Amino acid sequence: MSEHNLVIVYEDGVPTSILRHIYKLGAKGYKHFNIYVISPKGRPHYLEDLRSVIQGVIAYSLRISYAGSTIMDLRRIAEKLPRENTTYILASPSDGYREVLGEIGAENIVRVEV
Amino acid sequence: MGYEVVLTTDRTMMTNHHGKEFIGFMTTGPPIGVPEKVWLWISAPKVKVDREGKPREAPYGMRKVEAKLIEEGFNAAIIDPDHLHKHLDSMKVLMLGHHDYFAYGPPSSEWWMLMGREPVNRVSFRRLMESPAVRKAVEKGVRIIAGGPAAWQWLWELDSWKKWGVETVIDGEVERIIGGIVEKALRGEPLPDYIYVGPSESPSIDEIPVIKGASVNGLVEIMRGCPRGCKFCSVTLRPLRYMPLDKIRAEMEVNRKHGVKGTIFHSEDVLLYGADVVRPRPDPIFKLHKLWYDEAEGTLAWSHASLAAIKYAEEKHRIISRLMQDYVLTRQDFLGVEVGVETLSTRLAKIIMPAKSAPYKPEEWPQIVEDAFRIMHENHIIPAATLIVGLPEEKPEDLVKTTELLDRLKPYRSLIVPMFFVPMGALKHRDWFRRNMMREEHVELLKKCLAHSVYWAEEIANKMYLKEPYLMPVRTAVKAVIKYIKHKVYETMPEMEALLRR
Ligand code: SF4
Repeated sequence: MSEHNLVIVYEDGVPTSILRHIYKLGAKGYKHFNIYVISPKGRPHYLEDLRSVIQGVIAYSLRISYAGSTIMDLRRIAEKLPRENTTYILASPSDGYREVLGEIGAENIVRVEV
Repeated sequence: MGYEVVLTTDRTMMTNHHGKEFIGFMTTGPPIGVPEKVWLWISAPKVKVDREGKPREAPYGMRKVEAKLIEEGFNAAIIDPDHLHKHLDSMKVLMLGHHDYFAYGPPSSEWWMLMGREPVNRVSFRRLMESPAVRKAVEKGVRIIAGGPAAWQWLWELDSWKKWGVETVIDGEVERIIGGIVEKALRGEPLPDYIYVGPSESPSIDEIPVIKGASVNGLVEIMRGCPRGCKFCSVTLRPLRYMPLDKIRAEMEVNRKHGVKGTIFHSEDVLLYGADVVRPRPDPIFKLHKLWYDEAEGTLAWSHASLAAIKYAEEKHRIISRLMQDYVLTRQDFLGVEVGVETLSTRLAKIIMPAKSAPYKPEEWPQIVEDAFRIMHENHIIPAATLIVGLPEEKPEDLVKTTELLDRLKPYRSLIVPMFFVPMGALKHRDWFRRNMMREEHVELLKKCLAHSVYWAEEIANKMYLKEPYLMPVRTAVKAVIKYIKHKVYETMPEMEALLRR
């Protein structure tokens, strides 16, 4: 099955425009998304902001996991995931996340407005 | 001795409702006119269990998961909620299933809004999660996984999720993945917090196991999926799978072996078993019912059927009358089924459910409904029908139309239940709902549905339902509850109307 990793970073809400990016990846043939979330809300409350994403993606399989709240947590998860099969969606105004992804050479980074 | 993987649920699910599915509706409401204990005794009596606490009958979806885990070599079993303590020493994973964990689904949410009190299914589930056995399990590090058709509700109960120590919630058809998840849980590996099983992971017929223990009231799945293709429906995205007769026979046999005589054929639309897309075909339907007739000893019910399929089946092939005459009515007085009317406004039907009327045109919807109700009445099929009100697309004229046309359904034996489309979060504030959503037209519609349903409920309870002598106390209690509801709702109507006028 064609899987893709999505790392979503957010602080205060997730814009529904994320759905567009997921559909775009779906159009490329991905049917299964492993979603890792970096959010200050902690487990399981970070899911509150993902409700509309979960309910809007009924055509694909999802595995959603909490990956922490800090820039260091993002670095840790990004170092574990394969570069070419992972997309990073940044819904946080902070530049720190982008910088750390730049340092480790992450390729697919999408910035979305909150 | 004990089980490593235990599946359970609360009393409102782990019950056979005295063998009468319709009574199960009472578990979705708050106790009315009687103490909660009595309400639960009427609607959700305890099931028989063996020495280990394994119930004689259990919810079908949980039976499927249990069967899959056993086939994959896990030491797993469904355990009645009152007997969980017997497995505390061995239990490593506790799996929960439910149709309506938090009463956010229909018709629980309507009861909750109208009565302003929590339905018993919600209260009972909370009681299970706060019971000494479950608390002890969490303290010991047992990993809790919740699933079933109401899994999505946990997304709106994150405080409970955290407080009760739930680790993972799984939504969707789990046969292909559940073994891997439980394996990880037993090995102590991290699990995702939320899993949605998409259509690409839907199990094939061969991957769907035959249940190993009896299901509540003999429910047997005859197909998965739905060919109607409504927008935003996850069921229709999944492959359409008709269970072969051998598989259906095997599950009926399991039920019979465990002393459950009745059969409920379960599908999104029973008449579409083996259909030509949305056109019922006589051959598969007759073979299915002949199987029941030849092999089962007890009565038959259908879980759901669509009104368009009922009309088409009868008018094109006389399927309904032949089925009822040749098979069903030789053994029982009526057949129960859930159907969706949703609206009687053509305008709204075209917007919200253009595929529901197929193979007929959406413009014909009110006539389809009336024809199907007449066909059911003439053939002793009693539908519990739903109406959906409060949708964002709804206009007052749609409600007026539905209310007017309900008169045409008056002569037909049926229960009609309006279901309010309510934004999540509004449920706990009855006044918010009454002030912001309830219109005068809603009250009119409610009154009409109530008059219709109470009239027919009394008739059905008097003449057709709960006739067995041992159910006499339940029949008396059900009749008293119907009377009380009638009285109570009429009593609150002026209050509601006054609130609207304000
Ligand atoms: S009829 Fe019901 S199950 Fe079938 S596609 Fe429409 S909404 Fe889904």
